[in-house]
Amino acid sequence: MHRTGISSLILFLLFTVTLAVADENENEKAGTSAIAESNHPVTTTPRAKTRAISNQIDKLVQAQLKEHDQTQNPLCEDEVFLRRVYLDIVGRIPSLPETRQFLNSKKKDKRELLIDRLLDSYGYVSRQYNYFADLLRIQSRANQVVGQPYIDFVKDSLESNKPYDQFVRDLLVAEGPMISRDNGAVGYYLRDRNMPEDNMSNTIRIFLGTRLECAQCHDHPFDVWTQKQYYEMVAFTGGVMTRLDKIDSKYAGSLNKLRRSTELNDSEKAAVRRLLQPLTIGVTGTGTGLARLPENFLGDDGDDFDIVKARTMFEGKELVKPKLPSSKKKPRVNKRYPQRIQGVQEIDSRFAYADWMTSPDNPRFTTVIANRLWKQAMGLGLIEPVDDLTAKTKASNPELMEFLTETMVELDYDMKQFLRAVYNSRTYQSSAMASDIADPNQFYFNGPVVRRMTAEQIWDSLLTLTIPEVDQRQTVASVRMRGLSGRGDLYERYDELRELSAEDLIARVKGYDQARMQGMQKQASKAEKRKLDQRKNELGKKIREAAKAGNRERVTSLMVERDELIAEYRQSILAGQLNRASEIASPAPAGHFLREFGQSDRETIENSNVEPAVTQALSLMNGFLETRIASNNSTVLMRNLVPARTEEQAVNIVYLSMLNRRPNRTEERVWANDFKKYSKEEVISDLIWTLANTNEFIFVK
Amino acid sequence: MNELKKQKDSFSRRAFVTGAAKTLLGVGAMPLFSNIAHAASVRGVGTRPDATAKAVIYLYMSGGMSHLDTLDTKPGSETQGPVESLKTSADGIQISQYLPGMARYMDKASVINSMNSTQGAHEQGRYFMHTSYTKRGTIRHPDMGSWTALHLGKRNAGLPANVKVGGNSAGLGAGFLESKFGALPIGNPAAGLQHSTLPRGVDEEQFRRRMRRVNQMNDIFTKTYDTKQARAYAEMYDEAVRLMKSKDLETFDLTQEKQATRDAYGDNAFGQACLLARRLVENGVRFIEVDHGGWDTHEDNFGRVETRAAQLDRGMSALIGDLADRGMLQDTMVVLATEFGRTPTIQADRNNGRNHYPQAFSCMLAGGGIKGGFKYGKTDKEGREVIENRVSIPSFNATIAHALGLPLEKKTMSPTMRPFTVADKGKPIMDLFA
Repeated sequence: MHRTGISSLILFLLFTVTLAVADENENEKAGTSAIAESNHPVTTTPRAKTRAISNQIDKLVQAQLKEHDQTQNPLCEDEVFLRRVYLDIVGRIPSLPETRQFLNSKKKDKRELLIDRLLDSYGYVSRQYNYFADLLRIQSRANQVVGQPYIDFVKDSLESNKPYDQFVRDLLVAEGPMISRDNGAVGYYLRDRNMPEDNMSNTIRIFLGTRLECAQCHDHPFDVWTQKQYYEMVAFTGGVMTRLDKIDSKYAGSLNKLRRSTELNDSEKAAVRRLLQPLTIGVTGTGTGLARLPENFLGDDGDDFDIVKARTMFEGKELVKPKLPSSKKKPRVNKRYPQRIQGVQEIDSRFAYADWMTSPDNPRFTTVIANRLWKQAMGLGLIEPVDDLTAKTKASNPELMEFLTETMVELDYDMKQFLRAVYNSRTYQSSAMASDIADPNQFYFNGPVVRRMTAEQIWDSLLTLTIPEVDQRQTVASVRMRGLSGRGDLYERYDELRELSAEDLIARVKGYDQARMQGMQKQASKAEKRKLDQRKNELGKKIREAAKAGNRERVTSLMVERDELIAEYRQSILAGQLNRASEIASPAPAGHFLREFGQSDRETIENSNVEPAVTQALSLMNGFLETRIASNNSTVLMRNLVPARTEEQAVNIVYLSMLNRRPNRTEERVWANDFKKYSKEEVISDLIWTLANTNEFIFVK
Repeated sequence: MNELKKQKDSFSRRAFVTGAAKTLLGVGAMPLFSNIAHAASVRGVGTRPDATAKAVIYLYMSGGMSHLDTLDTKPGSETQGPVESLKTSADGIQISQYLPGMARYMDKASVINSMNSTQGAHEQGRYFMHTSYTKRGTIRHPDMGSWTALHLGKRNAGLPANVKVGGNSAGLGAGFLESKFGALPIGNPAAGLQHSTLPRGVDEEQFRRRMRRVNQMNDIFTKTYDTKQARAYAEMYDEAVRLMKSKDLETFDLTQEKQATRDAYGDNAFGQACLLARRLVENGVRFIEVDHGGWDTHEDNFGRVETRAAQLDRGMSALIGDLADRGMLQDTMVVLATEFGRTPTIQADRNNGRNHYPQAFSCMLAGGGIKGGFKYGKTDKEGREVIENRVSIPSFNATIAHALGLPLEKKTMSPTMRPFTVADKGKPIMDLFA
């Protein structure tokens, strides 16, 4: 039983005086400190520039507060700042060494240094990916679309800190096959495969914060947009196809042969189809600048199936000169393909549209991202909702919104630099609001808003307590495909597949059997376990020998060695199952911890939620924490406790690990009393359980 | 842990459960809700004496179910494509060949072929269908399940009033109401309610002590950060503990059913969710929503509708048959709903897809006082426009609310002090009631 494990470990380690106890420094070495120990160079931006922006933010916020006879909240404590900034920038709580390092630091600019370090870690990519995955509805797999290249593209862009305008432009002009290295940006159009109209309203909402969905079917009831204007926008992406019209002839030939092949049974054929289908998917067409109105057009400025030319929604600019197929005024509507416009030319309208979209002159493009990033840090946008802008929209602090928009342009859409300035502001570092914000339009940012952690933040924080080195990028390839080819790299696999002849393919899938593949994987893990058992036995023998010889010191050190070995093995098993939210399937499967806590199903834009549900309480009380963290002595949290010499130290360590602060006097007393009444291991497990189930754990304050 | 301690733990765990059941349920004083209650009259169950339904099972076809290929077939029309129509057990009602199981039960259902929505995008359409209000600004309206929980409360103190099985991640529907009226979410019906028992080795006394510590810390937190959400989280634990101690926990356990019954509902998430819904109704849950996704058939409409409909048909027909056999259909309303229909014109250049179509679509109601073998409303011969008895979404929801006996006129204030009602300005369609 697991619990036997901890109790003996804790008893042994907490109270065996003979044990050589690691001091704090050693503990740090053994700990999880991916970030504190990071060797990343700190981005070299003149601090003065960042400070100037931060100061201006504070000036504008304070001026407005004064105007409304309000005051800024006091500067938050180090402990509060530490936890908040880790969750906001890297999406998880700090580890014990990271906590100690910051709290013990006497440096005057330690907050500034920490912000720099966090922005440069992979944790930033992970957290920001979660945000964009929710916004862009990224799915690992949907119909026949493979999401991995798109996921890689988004992570690569974040990792290289690609300017936001460039990132968006890449998405809008992407072209080429779905599975091809460094071409994942095509995933943006593929996400809305066969729905070009929806793709346009999604684009307008995501990047311009404007709701055009209604105008898909009729003139917008509460805004100025007409149905025709909507189709004029759609025209920019006219002619874009999500199927490759020219697939490799070798591949096409292979496919035909396979279809007719009598050598393969049905399940083998299906395996081949699954494997090859992705090769037919990609994005083509640079845009014709033309679209047809729908069959049930409701406006009085056009008729069903009329051809409209691309025109920008705000200014009514044409940008491109679409060429109609002939001199005829209305090309015939093909009855079977009514939306199709025959014989038109590609005129690169997509490029013009991408330039227009991402231009600093586009009135909403910059404001939307500036407001979104502000909300990431402060918990509430200056404009709420962030994606329902109309002509009447007014930010709660118009001067600040304008300043942030200008700043974003000035920083060339460098998201990290922008966030660096926000995080360094006194406004961000104020204590959080103590009550609900009744009206976001009349909220002047006395401090950030208290928020429940996102599903991803909770999961990743629990992982921080479970496995070391949590901030690592994983590549998740489809298990099924990996099984078939025996290799992990998606791109290599497809490069190779493109070259295979039909005969090669047949030979490869012949006799393919999923069950057999799984059996082989099991064998491999069994072999690993055998190796461990062998080592354990060897150590056991040595321990017995040392005991016989009366060498107590050697017995102890050998026992520690054996425990380490077992812990390491268990940890490698854990790490295989437990990856950060950004590194597992998107979305996580139904019923997964992440979904229980409101992760988006990635069906509609920003569809995540932070609502309480009874199942969340059940999960925290009786689920993951107890089975995965507190009853497994190889988890980070349990190992943090190893050097504790007294009960008091143990309590201290649990508080620092989980809430990133020390216990206060009352808390110390409560737990000290419990230690008098109950067994040590019982109190420790009570303590861990209690802290994980309090509001203080799942809320960011 | 030694053997002795293990024994002690398992003993106290047993004692905990029985003890809790006694204290919580006030011992036998509260009637047990079972089939017996169903056989009794439903009058007085809701707040209005003319309530015809005790419970609603709301089957939601997420993505927009093609009306032409399910409940509003147009034999001979070019817009129909390859789908054939089937005669059903009800005179004059035909449905799609994809729904052979339902064809046997149409004498127990009312089909509405004249649904009409103003929202053509999923998120907005879904929101409108669930709340009767269009999505605007920062306000969030409650959905039907949450209104039901608010106005009717629980029938069984040990189980929630409102449950959602599978589905959308937008939230649990409470909107501006207190979170406790939102649904209990069940992610995977076959797995049931997860983590509902104490961890091994934790006994009642230890659990109480832990909860005491949690409450102490939460009191301090909510004193400093007095937000609706922080309070809701603290309260949620009370509800979770109540559920852990519920004697009806096995309601969520589908392994209690015969394998034959489980098979009859279909070996897939939707089918098993329908079965779970029946068990929940039997044990006093008032509103259960079951989500069945994948209806957004822009591409390969016929292939995809066929596979979606096969699961729908099996699960829903098994459910209606089962409810009828158990004498539960008379006071349990089964609803089949979706956000919009699909374009009658087949999109040949998108591999025979159909796009969103809010102008005309179909829904269905069965049981809970609804007429059987009845068809309400009509579209033209191509399924494009409603030509008779147009039904708005608020009216559709008002019909459900009326059956449950919810107070349609009663105003509930949002935090910004604006008044809202169950189905906005919708009026129940009385023609649908038997």
